[in-house]
Amino acid sequence: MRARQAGLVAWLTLLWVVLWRDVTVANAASGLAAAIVVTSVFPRVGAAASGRPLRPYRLMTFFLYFHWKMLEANVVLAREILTPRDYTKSGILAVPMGRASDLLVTLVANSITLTPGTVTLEARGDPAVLYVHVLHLHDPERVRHDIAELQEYARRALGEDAALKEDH
Amino acid sequence: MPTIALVILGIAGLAMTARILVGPSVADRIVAMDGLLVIVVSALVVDAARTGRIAFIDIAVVMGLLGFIGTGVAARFIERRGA
Amino acid sequence: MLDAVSGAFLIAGAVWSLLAAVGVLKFDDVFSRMQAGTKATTLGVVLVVIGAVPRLDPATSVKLVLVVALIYLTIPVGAHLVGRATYHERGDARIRIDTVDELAGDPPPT
Repeated sequence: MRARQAGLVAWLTLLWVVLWRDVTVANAASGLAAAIVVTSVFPRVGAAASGRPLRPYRLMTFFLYFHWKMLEANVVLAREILTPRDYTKSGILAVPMGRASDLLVTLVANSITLTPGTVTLEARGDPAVLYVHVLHLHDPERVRHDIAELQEYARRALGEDAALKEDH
Repeated sequence: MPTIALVILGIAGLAMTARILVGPSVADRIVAMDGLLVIVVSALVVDAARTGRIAFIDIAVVMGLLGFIGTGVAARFIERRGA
Repeated sequence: MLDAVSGAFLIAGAVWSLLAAVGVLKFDDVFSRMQAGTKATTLGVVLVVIGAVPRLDPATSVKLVLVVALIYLTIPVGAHLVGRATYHERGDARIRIDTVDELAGDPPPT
């Protein structure tokens, strides 16, 4: 257990030292102490965040895709705000997510809020379904497809073990 | 140039505040307050870039971290008493 | 030159935040206002941070990235909580749904 969390503790300590902007022994020691306290008090988070193989290429791909979609969303939103005509055709769509883990559902639900025309309203657990408010619901299948695409990039970034719901 | 940005952000903040005042529901006010929080964070960052006083960025970090707790509490309020 | 470009980003971020505020004022429905308030203000912060990074030292830039990351994590969660609560307990909120509402049990659109 300790070994798996070592990476997380190291990362938190590094973050602490950078935030203090001063690389001293005192900072490193207090950072290490703080990191250990935090990971001990929240063991589930510690376990979830450590021990996963990092997929830098996939993470970068998701990162870029996400930001591209975020830009797109804002451009569409800007047009809606600036033009006097009302292009909105709002609706609430149910988007099934298949066998997605809590982490994947959270990542996708969060990302949806920042990407084109959508805000996650409800996330039902088992089976995982997201209820999404869509600003321009001209083509529901297109929206479902876009969210599925987002989910796919997220799933690949997290990796199979973190992305699928475990069978109990 | 940062000064111009700050002025524009100030106007944006005032506009958001208008929605806080007008409402009509609690939800509208919370949405506007949340937006105002992000605008304030932006203003803190711009000011840090303008003056070189980076202490404000620490405030921005704390605001980013804790600001949404108010939103969460307000959401609970809405669940109980309606928007 | 870098000064001009970074300054442009600062102003762009400010303008985008103003756009967000205009959207929050202009839209007639709570969820639309939420879309404007979350997406546009978030991009506003991102643009402002991009403009600020060249003007500040690297350690501070890490803090700026941290600010953006925290905003990415917290604003959507806040919007979700308020959206969910408002959907179920409407009160005075003005909600406008033009097409389907599958959360209410409408059948999926064909």
